[in-house]
Amino acid sequence: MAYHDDLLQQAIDLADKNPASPTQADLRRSVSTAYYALFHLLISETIAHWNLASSRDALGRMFEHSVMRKVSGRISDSRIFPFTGEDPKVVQNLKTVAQAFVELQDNRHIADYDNTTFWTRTEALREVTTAAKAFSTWRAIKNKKIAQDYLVSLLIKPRD
Amino acid sequence: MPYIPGFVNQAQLAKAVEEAAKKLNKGDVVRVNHSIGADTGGEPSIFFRIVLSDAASREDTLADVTGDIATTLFDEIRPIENWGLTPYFRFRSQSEQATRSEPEWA
Repeated sequence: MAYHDDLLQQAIDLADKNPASPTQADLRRSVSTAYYALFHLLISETIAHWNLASSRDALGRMFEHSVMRKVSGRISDSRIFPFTGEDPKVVQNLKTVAQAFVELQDNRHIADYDNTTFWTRTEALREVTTAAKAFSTWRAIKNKKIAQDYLVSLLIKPRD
Repeated sequence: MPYIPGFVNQAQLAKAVEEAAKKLNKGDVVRVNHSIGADTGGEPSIFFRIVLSDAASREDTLADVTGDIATTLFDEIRPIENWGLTPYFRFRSQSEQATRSEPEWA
């Protein structure tokens, strides 16, 4: 399996590890891992287009979490991206992926650094299922032009 | 709803959330709370905290149930376009919440 698929499975395993009495460590690592699964999926999908295979991992290091988050947040703003003339179902699916990225990244920060936030298993499972849904949704639209444009935009710092 | 950057009328927002919550499946949703603040990136945000019935919290349907709820709240409130707020959604089951005492979830 690809690294991002392994990460998603790991996030599921951590959330399922002890359903009756999960530890905060397992739940928080699950939430964090769910984010990194989607992060690495999107990078993998982008760098796969680079012809020279030996350069792809170096290109992958160019992605910045904050830029990817900002771009993903803008996708859901119909004032900035009205997607006029595009298939509404594809647009909605792209927004699902982008919104998942924003949510997962924010919760990754909380899970990794905020010891005041308690996580229940349902909360962690929601993050894992959000990542899993983003995976399946992405696979349905990955060959569409607006999806490919989104990948490119993840590398470009938006101008305010 | 005119959106003025940097300003959120909390009473109007609360009304919008209340109206949107009425469109949710009552068998799934016990309570919808919200607060506004900055997310970890410093962006103005709205944080929804939704308590689900235990039946709606089953692992095999959780993705669909929470997805439908988030979509309804997103489409009805339009937090980005109407309020300039990035939405975040957290879900707990009723039995999980019964063991906790965080006021923001009560």
